[in-house]
Amino acid sequence: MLFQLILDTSNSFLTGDISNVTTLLFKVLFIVAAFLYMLFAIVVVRQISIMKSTLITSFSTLLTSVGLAHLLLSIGVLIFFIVSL
Amino acid sequence: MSMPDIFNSSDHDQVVEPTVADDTPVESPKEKNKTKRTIEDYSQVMREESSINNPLAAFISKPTNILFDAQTNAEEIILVLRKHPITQIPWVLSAIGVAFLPLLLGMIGFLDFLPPNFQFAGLVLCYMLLVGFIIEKFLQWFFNVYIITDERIIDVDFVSLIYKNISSAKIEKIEDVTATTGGALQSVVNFGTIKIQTAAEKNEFEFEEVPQPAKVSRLLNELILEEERENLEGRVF
Repeated sequence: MLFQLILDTSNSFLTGDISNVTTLLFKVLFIVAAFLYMLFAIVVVRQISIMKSTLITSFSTLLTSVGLAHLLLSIGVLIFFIVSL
Repeated sequence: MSMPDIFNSSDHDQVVEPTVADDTPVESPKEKNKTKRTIEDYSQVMREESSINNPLAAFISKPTNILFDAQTNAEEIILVLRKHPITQIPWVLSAIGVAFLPLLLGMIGFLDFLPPNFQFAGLVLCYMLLVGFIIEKFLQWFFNVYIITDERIIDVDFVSLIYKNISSAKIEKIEDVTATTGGALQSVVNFGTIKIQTAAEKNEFEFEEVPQPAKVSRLLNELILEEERENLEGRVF
């Protein structure tokens, strides 16, 4: 599938059709952005864990849930970008 | 001439029954002074404050559901401070602005050259970045706290996601407390900055943009006086 995509792109270059190249470029950008965002979400979860061990409040459980939900959402977005774009 | 009797036991027939010994230990004055006083005993400021347990408040007096990791068993948190919520308005307004940005870009056809699924992906990415921004800003506000206990002052700073700085100083090391309220907004809403000079390793603490700075300053002065009284009376805990 990837090989076919590269072949189509090469053909696009040869035939002067840049729309597929643009689409491919944007797809790569979106996937890279989603991947970096997922790394950021992992850091947020870790940071919430460190912060709530420093300052223990009744709100800590909710914040942990928000962090994990945020991470799951970022993973879902990454998968969505890979599959549907 | 005989001297008059001062006391004659035969004239006193009354028999005094011995009482059962009281098991209550008698406190010497020194021991009595060793009893730890509660914050309401020596602080007029805290006598006027009720216990607040709202974890989202910026001025939390006598909290019962907040602890910090370096807290000792005998240590009692008197006050937890954060930056006044009004200082968070700039980023809240920015977030609201960014929330409407895709709508504006859609009206001018910013991503119209892309297929519809890519336009949707762009929208999703924009809102994901917005969510991340809001979470980051909220965490920074929520966890950057200033804690005053009956023994110490603690400054918890999470400068960014990956940098943490926690400083503490004993109350007895505090040398100077200055409360500053500057500008119309700070005067109207009653928040400001408290600068604390100490003889500890970190010689200046700054409680930035906290609510009711004058009250906090008075509380710190009361704590300093109580520490001095404890030292004079030999009440070491």
